[in-house]
Amino acid sequence: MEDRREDLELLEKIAEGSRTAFDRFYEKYAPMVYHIALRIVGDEAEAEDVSQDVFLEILQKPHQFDPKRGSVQAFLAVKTKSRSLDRLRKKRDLLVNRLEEAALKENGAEFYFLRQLEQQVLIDALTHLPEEQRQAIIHFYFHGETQREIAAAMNKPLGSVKSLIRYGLRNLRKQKELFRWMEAGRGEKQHEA
Amino acid sequence: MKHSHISETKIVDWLLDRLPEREKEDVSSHLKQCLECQRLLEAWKGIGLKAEAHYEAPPLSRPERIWAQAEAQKQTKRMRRGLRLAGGWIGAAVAVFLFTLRLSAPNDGPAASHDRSDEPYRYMIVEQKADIPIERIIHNPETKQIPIEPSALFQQLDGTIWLNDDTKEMLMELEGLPPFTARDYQLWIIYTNNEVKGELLTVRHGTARILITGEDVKRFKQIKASLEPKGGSATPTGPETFIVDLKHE
Repeated sequence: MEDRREDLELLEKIAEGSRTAFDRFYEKYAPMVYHIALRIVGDEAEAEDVSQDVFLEILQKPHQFDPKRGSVQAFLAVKTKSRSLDRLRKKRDLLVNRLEEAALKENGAEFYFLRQLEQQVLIDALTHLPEEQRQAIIHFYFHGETQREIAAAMNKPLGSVKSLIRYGLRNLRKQKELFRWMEAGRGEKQHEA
Repeated sequence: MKHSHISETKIVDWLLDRLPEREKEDVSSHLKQCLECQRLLEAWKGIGLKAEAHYEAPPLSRPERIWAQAEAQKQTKRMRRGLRLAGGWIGAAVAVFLFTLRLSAPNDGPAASHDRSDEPYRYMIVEQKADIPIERIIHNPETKQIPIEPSALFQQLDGTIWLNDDTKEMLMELEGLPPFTARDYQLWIIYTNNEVKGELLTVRHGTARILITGEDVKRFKQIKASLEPKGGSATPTGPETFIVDLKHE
């Protein structure tokens, strides 16, 4: 209860322009915010940027917090998650990296958040993939099915499903190379089948 | 039957043991029977959030940097406001001058106007950052915001179009445009009668901002962009960057 009161007071003082209050607030919550951002975006520099954005938002709009909805800590945690997903939406390379890591794990609970990204973000990127790779990725990331379940549904060995997901992601990554090809004005993109 | 979930903030508070006893019991009993909320809880546990946790401090970020950034943003806003105000005064002075000039000129011929109906295109392009009243356009309640969905080859592209039929303005901001030494980005304006007009885009550090004003804005049906040989093309030839349907009221 004491902690809750302190948080509210800090936010009030931040709204009044108190630098000391902001420093105290930052010291108290920056480690948690950075930790959440790092676990979601998977990159230290990007996690630093996300943390900075979250605290900048607090500094500029301290009245966004509504005490009726929960604690300041939970508010910050959910906001950090949301800003981290925004970052993944904007930086497709980063997103593909995270998806690749998720593909290597059978049940990575932390990757549940990736499924909260708008499906369109990924569906757009998937249009050029071979059918089986696309299907495997859609079942794994969007339907939340395990690789074992996908293997049964597609009537394929588990190893093949893992490969389909990995190749699919690798093909997504290759989209970057397309820019180099266009710049040089040669070549044609080939998918790994 | 409508099934309601518990708010994410409350689930996080439950995990952090920050809920009053009664609420804690309510959340616990909901979690027992709701798979979706259980998954969300597991995800938060998965990233290591817990009541008595010790996390590492961010290695580089410092509160003074954030403070400085906030100050810099305030400064920019003040400058923009100042420029708008100055622009308003200069505009008013020019208008008075032109009005006086018109009154004193002999009235024996048609008045020159950029809005002559026989002109094929009646719009003006503003590309200078300082000349674009961004906040006025964006915050106008009549302005529609249309996100730009990039094509598959330009996935890192991020952009928005703000369209206002009342003020006849279309503002477009793009970022994440990769530079190409031998090509230019060209904007294609497609009219409701399917006429197409091309305009080269000025890209700096991967970003472009353009404001189009004038009568024609109401007749824009689609906006798209493509990569064209240096100097632009008469018709689209290169890979498409994005295409946006403009829905007018």
